[in-house]
Amino acid sequence: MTSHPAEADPDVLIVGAGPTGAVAAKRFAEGGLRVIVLEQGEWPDYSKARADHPDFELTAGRYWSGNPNRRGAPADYPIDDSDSDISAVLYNAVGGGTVIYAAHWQRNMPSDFRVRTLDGIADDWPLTYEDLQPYYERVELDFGVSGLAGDPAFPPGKGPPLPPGPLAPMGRRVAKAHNQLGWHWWPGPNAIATRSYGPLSACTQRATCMWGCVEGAKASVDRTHWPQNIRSGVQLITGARVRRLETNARGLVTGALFVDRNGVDHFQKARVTVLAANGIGTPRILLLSASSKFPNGLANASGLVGRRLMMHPFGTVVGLFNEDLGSTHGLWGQHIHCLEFYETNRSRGFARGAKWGLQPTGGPLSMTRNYPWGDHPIWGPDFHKELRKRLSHSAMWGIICEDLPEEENRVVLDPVLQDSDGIPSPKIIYRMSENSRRLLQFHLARARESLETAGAYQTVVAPLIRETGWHLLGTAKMGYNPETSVVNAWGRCHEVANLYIFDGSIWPTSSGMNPTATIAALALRCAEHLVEEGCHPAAPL
Amino acid sequence: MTIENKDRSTLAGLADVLIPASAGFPSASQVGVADEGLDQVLAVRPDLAKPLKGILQSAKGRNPAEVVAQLQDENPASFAALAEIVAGAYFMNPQVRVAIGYHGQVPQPLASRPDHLNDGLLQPVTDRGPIYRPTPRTNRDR
Repeated sequence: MTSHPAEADPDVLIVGAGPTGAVAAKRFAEGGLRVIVLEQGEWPDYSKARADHPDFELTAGRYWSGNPNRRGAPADYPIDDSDSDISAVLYNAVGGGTVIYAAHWQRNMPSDFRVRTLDGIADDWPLTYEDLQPYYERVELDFGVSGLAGDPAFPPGKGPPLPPGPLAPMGRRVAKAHNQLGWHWWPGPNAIATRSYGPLSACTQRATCMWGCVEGAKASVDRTHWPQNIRSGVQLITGARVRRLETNARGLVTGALFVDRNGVDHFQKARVTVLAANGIGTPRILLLSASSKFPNGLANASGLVGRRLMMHPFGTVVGLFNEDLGSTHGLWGQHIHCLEFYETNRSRGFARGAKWGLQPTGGPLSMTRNYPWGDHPIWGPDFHKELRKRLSHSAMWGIICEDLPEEENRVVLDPVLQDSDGIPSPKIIYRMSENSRRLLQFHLARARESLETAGAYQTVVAPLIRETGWHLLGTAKMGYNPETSVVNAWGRCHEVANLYIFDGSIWPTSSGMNPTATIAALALRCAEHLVEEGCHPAAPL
Repeated sequence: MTIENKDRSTLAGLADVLIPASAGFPSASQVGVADEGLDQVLAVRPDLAKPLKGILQSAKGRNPAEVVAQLQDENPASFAALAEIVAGAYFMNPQVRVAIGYHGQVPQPLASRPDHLNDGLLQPVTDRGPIYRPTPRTNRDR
């Protein structure tokens, strides 16, 4: 489906209509550029959002599952994760991952951009927090972010446009506990509208944010960006799966070969191409675009395309309380966050840290499942007693652990597995590092301490589950040196002058934050630079 | 998928091992989990029909408690499917919802003002001052 008649000769071609593509397209259109976007998925079908129905909990994980292997929709490509500790989670549709994300809106901290300088490991980014701060502030307006300025975990500056959501009884309890412990907490920043805001309605705390927000309160870019982008003249072609990028004798990208949902191949010409297909989709396309001139994949002279995959190991601790916390409902989302143990403290036996977000636990069916409850028994004679203990009386910390870059953790093309169009699928090879394991264990223990201090009479550490690879980062590293990075500080490929990568692939390190805020801010910064420097639309290919 | 009555009876036995009656709360079979409840579940989760068929086949003529225990120990995926069917049907039942005080993910509009901006709860956090490491200058920055 095409939003307008296809432009034969656009200035910019963007691959991917998730948050990166949406933010970039908006800025390009504002800069007067003619933009075409190829998206392999379709618009999300909110008629499949079942929050109003008794079967909500039973059906939520089907259409809205983040695992493409489980979802198996026509737009999905299978991912071989048999050699990975974690399964990748993504959503192939207009809106991309923001359709199913929890909308925790976390800026990175200053140290996240200076890991090598401060901690002597991994790499520095070729930009600083201060470079990105004005872009954070701008994208927060576009996403209708809610939160509260003045968080002492971040440098001073403007806060988001909407007030934060409520602490709710669970957040209030934990906040008091952290005050008692002398630990950080702050009202949770969320890309969830707490008041009616532009295209977004006010949140009604159904706690269904990740499974189709029926209120239209969560800032997914199919709502916040694409309708306006299309009105601004951006041409969005859905059901368009890129087979490869083509190059000419000068080593420049001439456009993308893509296949539509009827199996018909097309070639979309462009003077400048921007990849915005996430940390798996982007290296997949680069590797698929190998040629005699680029035998190891496009823009891969460094050999780093696909390598340094980071996916943020994820932990959960649940606390059970005597008080009715009303925790079937709320923002999911986060009511508060904690960054007390985010910065490196070598005495803990590992480097870097993690961010915690306090969340509701949902309805009754969620009280019976292996995640987050593990083997803690509920079935049998004590079923109703256990149910009463959990339902509405539990709160959970979700813990995002920083993952350090390791070249052996990577995305490659699978030699056998293909998608429905016969295109080689990606295979992810990923092992959780010893640093990540230690980091996770430390934070799980501290999170238990938090909930116990808040009055939990029992805590449950959730079993590690595979489907937590929401954050796909690092597979086309940004840096100054072409020998040790794929793109420069503005997302431009060192090796291919008219090819750009703006998505999470270019992160040199992963931070320990939910990444969408930084993905969006970085996309805006890169897009703005391209507009201001000129994308040379008149230059012959 | 058509479920025969004897299979429904087998499922009812398994379901009551998972969710027996207790004071004020009906058992799974008492609210029709193996009857209209099962039909409701399979209507929206047809993917559960295949594992259910295997479970019912292996459970025929056996003690339900032993079947459940064996599934839990030896076949977690099948047990998870059984639990999803039984609990899914149980919690969709209106009588059960009233009994447990759960009325669905109904809207709860936000208060006009957040509940924590004027009560001093944040003061200790701000009093501690910044907890981040500021950006160090590097040679490249100079």
